[in-house]
Amino acid sequence: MNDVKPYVLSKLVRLRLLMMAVAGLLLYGCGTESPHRSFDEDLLIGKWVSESEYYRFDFGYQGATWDLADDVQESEAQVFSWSLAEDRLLLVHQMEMGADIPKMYTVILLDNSILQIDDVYGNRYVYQRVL
Amino acid sequence: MKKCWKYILCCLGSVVGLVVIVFCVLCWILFTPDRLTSIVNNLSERYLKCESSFEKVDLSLFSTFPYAGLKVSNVALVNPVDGACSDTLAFVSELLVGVDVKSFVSSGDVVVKELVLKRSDVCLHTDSNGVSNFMVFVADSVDDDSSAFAMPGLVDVEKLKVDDLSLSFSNASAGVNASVEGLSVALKGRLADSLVNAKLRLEGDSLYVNVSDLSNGVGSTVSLADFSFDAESSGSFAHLSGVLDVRLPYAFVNYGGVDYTTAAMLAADEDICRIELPFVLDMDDMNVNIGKSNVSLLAYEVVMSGNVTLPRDTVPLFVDLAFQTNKWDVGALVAMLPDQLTSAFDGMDLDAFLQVSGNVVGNLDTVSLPEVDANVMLSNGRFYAPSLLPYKVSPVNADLGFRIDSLGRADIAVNQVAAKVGGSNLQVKGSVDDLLGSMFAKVNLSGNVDLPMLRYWIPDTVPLQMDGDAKLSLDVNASLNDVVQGRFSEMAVDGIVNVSGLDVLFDTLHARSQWLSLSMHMPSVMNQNHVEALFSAHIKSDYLQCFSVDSSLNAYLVSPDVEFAVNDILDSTKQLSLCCDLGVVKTEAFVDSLTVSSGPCSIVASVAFDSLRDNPLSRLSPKATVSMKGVRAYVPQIKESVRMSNLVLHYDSALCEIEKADLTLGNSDYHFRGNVVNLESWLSHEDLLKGDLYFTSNFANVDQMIDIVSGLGSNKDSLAVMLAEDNVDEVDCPFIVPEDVDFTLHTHINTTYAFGNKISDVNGDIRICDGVAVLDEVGFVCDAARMQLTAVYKSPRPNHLFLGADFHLLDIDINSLIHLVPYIDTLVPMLSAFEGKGNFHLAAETYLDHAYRPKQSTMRGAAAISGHDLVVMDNDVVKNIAQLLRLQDWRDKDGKLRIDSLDVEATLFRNEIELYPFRLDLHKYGMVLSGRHAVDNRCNYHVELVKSPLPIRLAVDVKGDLSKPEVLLGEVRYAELYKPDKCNAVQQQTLVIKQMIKQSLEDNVKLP
Repeated sequence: MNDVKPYVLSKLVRLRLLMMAVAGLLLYGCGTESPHRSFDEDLLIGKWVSESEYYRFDFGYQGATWDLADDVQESEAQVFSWSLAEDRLLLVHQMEMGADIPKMYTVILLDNSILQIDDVYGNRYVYQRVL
Repeated sequence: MKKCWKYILCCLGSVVGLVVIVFCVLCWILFTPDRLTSIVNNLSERYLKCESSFEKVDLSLFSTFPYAGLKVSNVALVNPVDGACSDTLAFVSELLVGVDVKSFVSSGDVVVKELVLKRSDVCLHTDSNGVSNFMVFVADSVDDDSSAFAMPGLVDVEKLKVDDLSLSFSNASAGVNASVEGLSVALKGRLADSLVNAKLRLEGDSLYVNVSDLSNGVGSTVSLADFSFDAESSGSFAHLSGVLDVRLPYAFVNYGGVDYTTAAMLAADEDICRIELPFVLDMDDMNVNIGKSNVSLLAYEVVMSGNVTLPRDTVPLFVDLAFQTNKWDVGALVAMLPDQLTSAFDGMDLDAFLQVSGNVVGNLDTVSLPEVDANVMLSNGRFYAPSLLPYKVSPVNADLGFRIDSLGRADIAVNQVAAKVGGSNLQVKGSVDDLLGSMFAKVNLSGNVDLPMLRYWIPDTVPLQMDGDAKLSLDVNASLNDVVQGRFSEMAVDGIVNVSGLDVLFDTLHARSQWLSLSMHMPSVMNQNHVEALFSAHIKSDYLQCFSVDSSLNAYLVSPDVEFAVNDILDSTKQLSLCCDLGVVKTEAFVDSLTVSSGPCSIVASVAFDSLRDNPLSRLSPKATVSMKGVRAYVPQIKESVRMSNLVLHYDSALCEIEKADLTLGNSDYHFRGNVVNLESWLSHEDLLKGDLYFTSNFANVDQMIDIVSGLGSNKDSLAVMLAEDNVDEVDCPFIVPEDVDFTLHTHINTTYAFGNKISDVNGDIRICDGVAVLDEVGFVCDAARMQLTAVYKSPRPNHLFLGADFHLLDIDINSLIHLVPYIDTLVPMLSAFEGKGNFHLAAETYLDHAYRPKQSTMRGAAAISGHDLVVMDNDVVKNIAQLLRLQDWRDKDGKLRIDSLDVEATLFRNEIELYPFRLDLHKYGMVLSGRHAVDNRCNYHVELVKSPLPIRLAVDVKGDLSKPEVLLGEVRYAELYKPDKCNAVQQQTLVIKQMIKQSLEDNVKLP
């Protein structure tokens, strides 16, 4: 940690901060949510692949994922439950040890062949349907 | 006076002489040969039915003096019968009869005093119809056979002589042919009224008897030559004494075509048979007293004496005889026997000296036999038959007593039989009762046995060699029928075998002992209720060494003591059952590089074989109690020696109870007790192998245990296939959890070192159930916190192993937490900046490859950390963030940064760790942190000021490599996060997710 140089704000930065603060004050309380698209959840049902990584969405809001690169077969897949509300896709990975791991994505594209989702950090994942 | 008597006697003599002269003249004139011959021929027609001829009958006065003699020449009786050797029944060339004239004159009785026959030929024959040629006498009109026999009063014989008699006898219906040639009989003495004082001599040139059994065509022939018979007797007929002397220089006996005497004849220097028999006959008591008599056949003599009482009315024949033989050369005797009788001895070297003595006493009739007591002495015996036994049996000495009772039951008293067989000396003593019936033996077998000899009786397919000497004493009570029919329950065997210098080689395995004692008992003396034991044995030794030829095994047993019992293994209606009690004072064994030593060891076990069961253990149904002390093992794979101070184990088909098992490994101690069930049904694949064990330890080094068990695995039928399918070498095979076992280990460890941490008071269950190993809610206390750990390990296949953990730390010191679980600093990077206590919940799981490397795509984890009144430690990152966010006056008066509360939820998914938004309250400031980073240390964190004396909201983003992050101002996101009435749907869902994570983790906490 000693290698981290102390951050010294230059005057320009200070000016920018001041302008941002003003803008923030002006915009305070005026935040609005952008409208969400809706997708047909039935289109999710099926098997999707990205390189060696597979997702399978089943009826009943259950699914499974596996990665052949790690020598994991479909029969050994790890399960999750899923829900799709408008464009918000929530996968809850169910650990065998009893805990749940929720992962939330925003669906960008969903059709018969492509599933494109973004996570909350802006990372995009593209899957192709396995026929 | 003398002259007077002289004149008188002369006168009387003159008168008598005159009378005699007158008598002779008258006889000469009156009884001429012609006249006498005519008289006799006329008389013969009255008494004989056959043709007869008396050629010349003449008086004889001088040859029969003082008796009147009648001399008959060429007497012939002719009675032709078909099949007879001659038409002439009898021909006597000269017959001389001396008659007492005085008796004839005084009483008219014809008293025969002398009878002489010279050169006679007699031909007797009975044809197949029973018609005999010698039935020529005219029968009396009255034949009263009921009258008792009485010595005829007219018999007063002083001389009886037969010279050169040839006699032929044949009986076609009986198949008998006999002949005597040159027979001479001479009787000298007196035979009159009831007095006998005579010597009888009988001689013959030859005697021939042939008997043919017409039913089966087997004939027997006896031929004697130059035989003689001498008898001398005196006294009255009621008390007659004499000596019978028979000599037989030549004999030929043939039965069924087998010649019995030729070899004996060749061996004979003199008489082949000799009988000397003095006797006293008491006709009043019908008793014959036999003096010391000698019957000899060549050199084989029998000396006997005693009494024989002839049967009278209802009194049977009574015998009281004592006999004794000289030393018989059995080898020579066997050599004289015909080949047909000795064929069984071909190839044998057989010899001995045999001497028999005894007596025969008792009645002899149709219902009883005389009792026989005999003593048989066998000395210098020799037996060698390589085809039967490759060892010479010599010398053999025996002292046997035979007894046959009146009912024919024979018993043998084996006073002693001693024999040297090869290098072994054996002695037998005892008795054999009912020799011809059940043959019950009660004997003691003792001696020294040269163990290499036993190899002869071991099949060649058994690679067993042995050396040493055995001294045995064996008492056997058994009957032949029981032995033949295998009725061992009816027998009794007790014995002791002491073996010295034992050296047994079985294949490549040696066993040696300087001294070994074996005692055996049948019926069993071992008391085992659940085994119907028939035979028991007790083996003791001072020292037993077992080692392999290639030196891969070397074991020493000090003072082994084994007692075992077995049921009747030859009873086909029963299954094998066996019990044993093994005790060893000290054991040392070296197997390859493994060394095991043991102190006192005791195993009490039994097995009951049941061939109908389907697995080896069920077939044996073992029951055992094992007790061992002071066991120490050196295993190359384990740096420390393994010591077992105590082991007490009970096993039966239903339950295996570990009463006590105390192990020490290095400075760790392990104590086990509990039960294992279903072992037999588990082997039959009918049920899980279940175990419920209690494991306690004062100190256990878990790190050491993991090092030891790493790479160890249970075998499985399909493991090889699975390894091949997963391309995993056998040496790299990971720990495979058995799929069909259910073991629970109730654990209590006072102190343990695990992952470099000292942990105390560990309580919980470790369970292996059907392919899953579970560390089930183990609670323990370390310096930092109360802890609960649940861990799961599964091995569905070698390259796909599951490892999961559910870990809860309550009241944990955060620094200790990071020390205990260093990975937590990676999961929550800024956690090291906090000081204080909190609660930590972690659930993590992943699949591993065969080398225990995590498969990144399967990594899952969730963690929740909560704390109160935490102190933030100063560091450059904190200072930079504070400076960037313009945090003024955020320290307490003591200069420390304090956080009222901390509530962090984080997840691990594949290679990404995500920190869900959480709020920090530092004095007058409140901020929310969130973000994620990957396992490669790339991070993307967001720190946002949500409470501040300033009227503005500021946020910074921390990005880049965690070791050298870039801190930049960022967009505010969480202003309304903790304001339920104002937060948006995403923020609401974020809070729900946080709660979901925390709740799912806390639900697993069992600690109070």
